[in-house]
Amino acid sequence: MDAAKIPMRLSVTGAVAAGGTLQAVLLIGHPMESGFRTMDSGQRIAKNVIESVQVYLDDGLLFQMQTGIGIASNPYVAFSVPLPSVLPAHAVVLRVTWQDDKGQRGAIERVLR
Amino acid sequence: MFGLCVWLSTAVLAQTPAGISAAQARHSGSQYLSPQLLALQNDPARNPLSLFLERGQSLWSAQCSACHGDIASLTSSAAVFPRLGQGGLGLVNLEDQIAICQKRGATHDALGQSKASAVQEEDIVAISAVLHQTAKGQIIRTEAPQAQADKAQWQLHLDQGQKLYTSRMGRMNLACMHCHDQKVGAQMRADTISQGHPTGFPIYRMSWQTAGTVDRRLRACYSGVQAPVPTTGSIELRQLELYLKVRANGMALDGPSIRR
Repeated sequence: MDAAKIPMRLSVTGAVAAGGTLQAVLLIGHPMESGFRTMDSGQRIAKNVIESVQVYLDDGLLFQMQTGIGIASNPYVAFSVPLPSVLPAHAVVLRVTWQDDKGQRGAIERVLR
Repeated sequence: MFGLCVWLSTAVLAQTPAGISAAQARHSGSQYLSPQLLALQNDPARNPLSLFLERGQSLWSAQCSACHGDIASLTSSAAVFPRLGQGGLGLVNLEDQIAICQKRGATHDALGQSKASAVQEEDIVAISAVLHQTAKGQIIRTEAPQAQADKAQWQLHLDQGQKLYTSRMGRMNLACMHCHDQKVGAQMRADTISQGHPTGFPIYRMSWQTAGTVDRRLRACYSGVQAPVPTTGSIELRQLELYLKVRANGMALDGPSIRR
């Protein structure tokens, strides 16, 4: 599947306040093909999994996930977003990027207000 | 209250074809979901079907909207398929129709040689999902065509579908009706047996880790009773789907749903 066709969804709940915490839910419509499955014809389905997911708050890396064949298709990641004790003057941006073993990549961002 | 129940069951009797036990009230498959899966289904932020809906929406805008316009104008299509295709195509369901449309589209000449070929199956499921989402709440009304010759052919397909529904098959030697009419509510391993009404398709089935159509679900049923599994798009799957849809006539469509 083309990277362009892989939909992503990032939803954030909670009030943006200095020192507060938001809850984020990330969905990526990736097949996460383990490489162990076969088609009805017996032909093996090529491996295609997301290898890494990065979550940035503004430019700072919040965390990074090393994912592999243990993650089911359409990965669902729920995480907390700790906000800095002093909020910057501009709106904070939460950004998620991923790369898979075929070199495909995707990104999504949400402006936190 | 009792009067209402009597009225409801007569309404059901009037709409279901002969040979179906219409004594029990009809329920959508979503009523047999666990609370956890129901919560997942009701939360768009977590529901994986929302990914398919987004994809379907963008495919619709790119490939379908030029002829069919806004998707909101196609509220009825999910409720009336399967039906007889134009030009002697036989019985086609909504996904077949999407495949036929894609084949006809100038930009998709190379695709869609066969009904729902594996390459584009996910695209078809995604478009089917948005069409079913648009048709959410619509009443299923799968009816015989007007023309007399078509009507006879349609009835033949329906009868064949009913025969399949009531015929024992596979090493399990079970017919659909043995579970979905006679054992509704019983446990089959950890799952509760539903009435088998196709109101919530396409479904995101957790064991598939993806969304699938009635076609795929029925093939899984064949495999479940250890019968030879028909290929995608076989006429028997369409006939069975037609019968199930007619059996569910009068029920509301739920839109794409989660299944275990």
